[in-house]
Amino acid sequence: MALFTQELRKIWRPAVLGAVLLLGLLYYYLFPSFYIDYFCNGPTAQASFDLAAGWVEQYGPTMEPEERQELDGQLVGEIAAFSQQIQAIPEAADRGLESFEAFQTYHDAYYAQARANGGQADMEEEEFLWKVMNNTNYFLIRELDNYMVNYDWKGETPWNQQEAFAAATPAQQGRILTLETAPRGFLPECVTDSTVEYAKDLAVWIVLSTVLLLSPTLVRDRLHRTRALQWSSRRGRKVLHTQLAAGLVSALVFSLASLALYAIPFLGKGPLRFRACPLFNWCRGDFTWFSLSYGQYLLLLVGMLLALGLAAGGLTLFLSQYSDNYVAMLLKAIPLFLVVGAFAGTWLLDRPGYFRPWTENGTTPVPPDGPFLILATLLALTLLLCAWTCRRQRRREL
Amino acid sequence: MRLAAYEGRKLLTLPVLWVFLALCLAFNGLLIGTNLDGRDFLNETSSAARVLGQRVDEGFSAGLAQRPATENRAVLQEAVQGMTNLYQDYDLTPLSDFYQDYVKNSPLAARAMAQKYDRLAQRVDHLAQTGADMDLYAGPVTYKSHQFLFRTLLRAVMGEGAILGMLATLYLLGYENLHRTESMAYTTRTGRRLLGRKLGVAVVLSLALYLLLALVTLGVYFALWDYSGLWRASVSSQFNYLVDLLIQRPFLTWTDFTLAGYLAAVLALGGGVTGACCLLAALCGSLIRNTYLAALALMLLCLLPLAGAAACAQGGLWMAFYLISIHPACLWLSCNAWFTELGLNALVPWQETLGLTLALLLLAAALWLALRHFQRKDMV
Repeated sequence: MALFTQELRKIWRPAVLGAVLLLGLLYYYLFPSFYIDYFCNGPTAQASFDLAAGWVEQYGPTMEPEERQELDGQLVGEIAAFSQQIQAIPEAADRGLESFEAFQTYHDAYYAQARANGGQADMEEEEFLWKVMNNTNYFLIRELDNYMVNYDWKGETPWNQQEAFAAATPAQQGRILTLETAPRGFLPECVTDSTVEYAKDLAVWIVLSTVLLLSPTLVRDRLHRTRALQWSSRRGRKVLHTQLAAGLVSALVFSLASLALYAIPFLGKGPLRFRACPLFNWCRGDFTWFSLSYGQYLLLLVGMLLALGLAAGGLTLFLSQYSDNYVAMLLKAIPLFLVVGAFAGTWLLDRPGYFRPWTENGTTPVPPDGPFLILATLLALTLLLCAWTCRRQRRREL
Repeated sequence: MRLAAYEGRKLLTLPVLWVFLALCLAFNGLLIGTNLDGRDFLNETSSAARVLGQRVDEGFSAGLAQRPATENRAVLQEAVQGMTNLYQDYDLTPLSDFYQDYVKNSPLAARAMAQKYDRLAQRVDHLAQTGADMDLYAGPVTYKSHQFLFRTLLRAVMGEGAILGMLATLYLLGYENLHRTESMAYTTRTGRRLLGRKLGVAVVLSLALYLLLALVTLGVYFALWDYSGLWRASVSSQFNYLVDLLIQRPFLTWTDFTLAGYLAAVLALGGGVTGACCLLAALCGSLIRNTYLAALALMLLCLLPLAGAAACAQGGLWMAFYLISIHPACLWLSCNAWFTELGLNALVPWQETLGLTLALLLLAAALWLALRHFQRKDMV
């Protein structure tokens, strides 16, 4: 235990830790913070979020047909509220706009005119329209109306007659038919999008920070020529086992700490109110392979991030024993970070469990367990390499 | 000279350096291999331009009509028919007003922005006279191919060159500490001046590695993409443009550039950025004895200006933003638009060149002070 503690102290050096934390702050500011500041990106997304937040409280995690009927009343109420709100805008009164229908007609006529004029905008009209839209519940009404129309259309049109079904593989088609009769979730798109993008950025950070923290571990021993001393101690060659264990535990702990720190601003945006909502939004076309709730999906992402951190740590430790100086290790660490973090990490965390192709413009779909199998393989490879390293250590010459 | 050779050998006999170089070339190959859309069109266009010239006029159109009828030729003919004298009455006032309004928090920046676009207007008049807008370049695939070459591929090459340069510099500067030969090396006749020699070798070899990366990568790229008919094209052709803050504008450079000249200029400035990165690494390596901590400090010094620039832009501190933008990392980010007006990223003409020069001078001065400090530092 004492040896384990000492190895941990060698890894968690204040100067390295301080530099990595500072790097983390800069990285957070440059990249993931965007998905917190713009968790709901735009008034439409905000309206969708607000609607869904209200429905979760009123109806629970799903919107069944009998509950859908009550939305008609909600729409009427919102339109009435709009009529009250627009009265507070003098420019609207000047134009004789007192109701939602009148404003919508005016809005549509302006944009039709602008299109006919080759996209030439009247900045005064633009300013007025946006003033009304931003100071009333306009976007809420539009989102509510869109949701109701989509819901009804999805309910009336058999899913095997929709465009997405025809383009799907037989396995996907089977899943689509299952989802047709699944509970009707309404998880907002902005929540899923922001969660996934945030998780991708976190994956990159976890890999980067783990690689930087663990890179000097075994290199330092080589530089200080302590191997002979270690092998001649009571522990003998099993010292490496302890070092690797300390490294892997450090990778896990640092990944957990990063997760905890990243979770604070994320949870502050209130996504956990949707934790019981089905991951699959019944009115949208981004189908999922698994019937998970949003909360369960978050736990799945957490598990994947920890596994990625552990894999990155193990691979770093493996490579560091073949480096006799820091620069040589960094020349290995950079490609390791790019492959495991920038490429594999972002790909694996890009909507795992959803229907998606292997590449952005590709058509071949990823199997349901594809990302999980790849991650499991990466982790298994890491542990295998560490085990092989320990075994090889027994036979190595000094 | 012998010392330089020994120092060079130390670096060049580091096996992982060559492995890293090979991985960089493989990555660049992957970039090239996964971006082959439009290659047939560009090659056919280049072949036509090789025979007919770059300037689109009646002779060009007539010559084009006589070439073999292909789908690509039809698309090119349609594009050529739609060409206009773009720079004849091109008005920069909306663009100038937009940027002045954007930086209005800083009156000095707004004034400088206005002056920049006044100078650019003179360039537009000159380009109108030379008829640069009537150059074909690569026709409708110009923007995509130009951006891939300069924004994706060359940015990757420059980034790789800079990383190699920085790590090579750190390695050489930390070599004696690593191998515990400091007390021996610094008591020789050369003594602590050895650090200066190391730095010189590091910079030269870094530039050589950068050139090697660039030559091999571009060699592969131009083997697949036939640019033989495009070298004399003006980069300010009406088919080429830039987008900044969602606003599209022509590719207006501060002097006349053919594609060949522009490529050479970008490569040269890229070498300058590599050199600046080496100096930055040398600063960290000479002040911090532990090579790994020096590398971490270097990483922070590269990321901090990016965050600082973003924070200044968000806070409306425009003069601070432009001062920070001379950092090599900020210059690297805007490499696809070097030698143009650079939109929001520049206040003065040739800002990337002036900025890099200033950065090199500042870094050289800082390094000189660091080396002086090293001369007196207690090494025990």
